Amino acid sequence: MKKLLLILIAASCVSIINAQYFTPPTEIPLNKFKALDSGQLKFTYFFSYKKCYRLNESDTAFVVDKQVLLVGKNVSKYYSQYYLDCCERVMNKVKNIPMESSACSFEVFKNYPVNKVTVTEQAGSHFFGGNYIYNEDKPEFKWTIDKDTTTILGYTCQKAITTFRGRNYIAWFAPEIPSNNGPWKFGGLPGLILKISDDKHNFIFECSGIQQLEKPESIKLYTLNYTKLTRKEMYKIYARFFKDPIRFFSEVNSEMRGLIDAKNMLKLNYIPIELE
Amino acid sequence: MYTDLLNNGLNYSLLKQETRVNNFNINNIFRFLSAFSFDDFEVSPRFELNGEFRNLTSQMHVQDNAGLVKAIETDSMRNNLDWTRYNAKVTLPLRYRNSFWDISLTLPIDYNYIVINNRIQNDNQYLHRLYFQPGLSMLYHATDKLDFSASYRYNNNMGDVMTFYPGYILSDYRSLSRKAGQIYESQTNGGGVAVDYRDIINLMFFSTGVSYSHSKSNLLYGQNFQGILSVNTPVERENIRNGVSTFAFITKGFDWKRLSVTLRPSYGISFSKALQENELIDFTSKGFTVQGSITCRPIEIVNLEYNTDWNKSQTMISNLGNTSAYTGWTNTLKLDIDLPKDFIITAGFEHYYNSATTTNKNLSFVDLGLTYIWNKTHISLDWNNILNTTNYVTYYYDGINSFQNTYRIRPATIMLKVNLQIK
Repeated sequence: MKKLLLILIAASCVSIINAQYFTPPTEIPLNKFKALDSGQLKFTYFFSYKKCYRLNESDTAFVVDKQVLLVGKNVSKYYSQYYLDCCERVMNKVKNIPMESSACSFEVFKNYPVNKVTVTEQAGSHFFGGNYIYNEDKPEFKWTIDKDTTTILGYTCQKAITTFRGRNYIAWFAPEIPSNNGPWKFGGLPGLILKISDDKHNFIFECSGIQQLEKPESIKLYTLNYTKLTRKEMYKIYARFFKDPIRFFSEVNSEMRGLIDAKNMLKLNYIPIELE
Repeated sequence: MYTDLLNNGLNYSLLKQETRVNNFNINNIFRFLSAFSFDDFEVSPRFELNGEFRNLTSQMHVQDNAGLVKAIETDSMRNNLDWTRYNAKVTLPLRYRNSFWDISLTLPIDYNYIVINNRIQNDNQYLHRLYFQPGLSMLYHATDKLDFSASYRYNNNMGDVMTFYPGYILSDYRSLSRKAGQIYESQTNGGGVAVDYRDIINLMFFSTGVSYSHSKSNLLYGQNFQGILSVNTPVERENIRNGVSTFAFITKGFDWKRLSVTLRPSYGISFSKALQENELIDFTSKGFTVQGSITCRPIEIVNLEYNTDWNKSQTMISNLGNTSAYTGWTNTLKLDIDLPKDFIITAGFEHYYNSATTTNKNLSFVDLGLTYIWNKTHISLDWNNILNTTNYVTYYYDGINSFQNTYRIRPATIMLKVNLQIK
């Protein structure tokens, strides 16, 4: 039993980004949602991040998730395409689902509610004990715009730097694309952020495709049984998991309580994207 | 011993019994790759075809004082049975799920055809049984922290070759048992309700529940004593057993030193009947258990874990009144220290107390180990049973029979172990 659990958790942890994100282990009812807006523009990003767990020395240190920024008139949503694909296959009961080990289970809604950012965590009850939702004031980024330029996807991009919750970031934005948006929680520049990474290169977001949608897509907030909490509480849960995953796993799963040894059998690197 | 029973009153120097059970099963399951869904409803039909083939042989031998071995040919002292069961089952599991409810209903129809061939009696029996065994489980998510659940299940059991054999088998040196030579059939229904509360943010978890079971079978087992020999035989008579149990679970975690405290009390009571020296008696057994654990990391490299398990059991018998209750208590303490350079120190202390044993009511063990991990090789140096405890005693009592087993165990030892992982 212990061995089975360890394999299960280890396999899942390969897919975790530093604290936040999981390959979907649970079924999410994708047909139940609240439509917040209609997305007109779709930007695809590749998100590279350092693994929290390496199976052996030859295991790669980084994984890549395919993520999407869907921008509507008032609200935008940032989510993992890999995670969504996997959820669809789970929902359609497709057998032998290939697991994208990098898929992240968070979703970020900007300007929902107005001037707020809402974040959902849909890793499910097996790992984090439930699905979570928090909102916070829209972050005020203090950008310093540099003269350096580069070209990404044919667009001339300008360099900007900022410090956000304990990490220094270098961003490249395209003034030609009139959107002050960007991947994850980032934004606030006079043009879309096409690339951004922290100075330690733990997290790299890079745009790989831009699409003007002929048929607008609904910006969906899936109506799961979310537990409402604060951002700090969310990170407290991540920290508990990463510091002692086996113990946390056995605590949050009622059917597992008392069955597994609480001793720390699996160690993960806890590298949260937000340090403060 | 038992010379009248086994060797026509003649003495023998050795008694030997050979018992063999051969099992072969075939299971075939047919189902759709995905469930049929309609809105919040789901249906997953399933069809099974199973075959169960068993053979039991038992034969006792005695050796006389001259060294001559002969088989006991009395029919009641041997078995040679073929048991074949063909089973076809159609199940229609229905599931309803929405944000608040998760309800599953199973409605299996189960057909069984059994052929029993007693090779000694040269007797064949053919039996047909059709069962309907419904089950229901319901889960209600009242809030993101609170769940209520309930379940019910009805089952039929037809036993197997081990609940059928008509010839005596010596199950230990003082117990001779045989079954009816007729099929053991029982019907059980049971259910329960539970409440589960979890507050992940504050690391507070609580659950409690109560469950019951009611079973009815066609055979009642009786026990007769012939000196120290206990002879167990079934009687064709309705046998009803009822049981109720309740449990609770509470755990509180803290971020401070990763402390976690858990308490698990449980209580169970059951009512049953048995034949004792041809007299029908009522049994009431009750047991109360409290388990607890404390885990923490006083410093990052040290993991400390304490577990305790206290239980009290008592049986009441209609014509004897209350029998004395006995208690058991187990305490274990484990310590792990992760040292630099892949060295790990482990230490463990275990204490067992049993009020019913006639000797060694208290047992204690202490172990100490040092492990070094070098690539894929684990090298361990363990000093086990440091207190040099040489006897390990277990005790079981059911109101009439008591069993005390004393094991001679390995004394204090130092062991060097090397575990290699080839790939």
